[in-house]
Amino acid sequence: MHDAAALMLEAAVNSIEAGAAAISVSVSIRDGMADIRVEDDGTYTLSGDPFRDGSTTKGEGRGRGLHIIYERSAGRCRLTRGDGMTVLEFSIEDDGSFCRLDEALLPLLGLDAGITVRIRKGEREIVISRSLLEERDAVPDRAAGIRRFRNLIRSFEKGDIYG
Amino acid sequence: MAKLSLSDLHAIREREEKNLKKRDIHGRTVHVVVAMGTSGIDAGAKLTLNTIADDVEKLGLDNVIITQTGSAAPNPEPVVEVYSPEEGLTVYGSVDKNAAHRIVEEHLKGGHILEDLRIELKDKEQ
Repeated sequence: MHDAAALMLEAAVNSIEAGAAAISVSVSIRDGMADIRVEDDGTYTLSGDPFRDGSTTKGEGRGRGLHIIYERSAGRCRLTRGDGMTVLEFSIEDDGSFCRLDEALLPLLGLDAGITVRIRKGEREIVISRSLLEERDAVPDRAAGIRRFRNLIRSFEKGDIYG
Repeated sequence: MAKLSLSDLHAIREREEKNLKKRDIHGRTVHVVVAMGTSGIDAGAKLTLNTIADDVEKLGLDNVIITQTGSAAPNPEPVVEVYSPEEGLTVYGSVDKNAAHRIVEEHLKGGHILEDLRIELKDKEQ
């Protein structure tokens, strides 16, 4: 069930669970691949291979996120840490889950106040943050906000608004 | 400013009466929480959340707030919790797309709990 957009979500959930206050997500779609980068200021204890299955301390069904990313990306992933920032990068086949950008981004931008997303599709780049959604009263947590959120994303995609 | 015609006024009144009726029916805010941990996402929680958001928007359920939380393991995911002033907390398990449509239509709009989807929430493992 983990499509490419769900893996991006999974990575952001990992950041939140690590106590990150600022999370920056970048997605680049090109040549049939989705390159995803998630940078955060969370607190991790990195020991051994973080992508290894079964290393969870969170209980049944939890803590498998990095291993799932490893599996789905066929090992094209890496996790680095320095200067208080952790960066997770991975590349997976573009399965079309970013075609409906509003559906891909609604769960992500509904997660946490500190998320900023940068999406590059072809020549167009879109940057959306929770603070921008708040400014435009487009946080997707109520009927009216969901409607404004979808309209905003579509406007970005059409190039009516530049982020 | 352009003058309003009688039909414009009727349309405004009808719209506002509909809004007032909606508020009267629901009274207070209903809170929907979708569990979006690893196991939830693996089980399809992204689709569940998008389906609920779509339906809430389409039906104009302005009294509903949708948020997300972490893993609900070891419960059958995707897990959706509904807090309403009338019924308190209701927890639904294995909420696929079809179940998500039903929760919005029957519970959030209609006020009826879906007993066949209801689960007893087990404690999260630490």
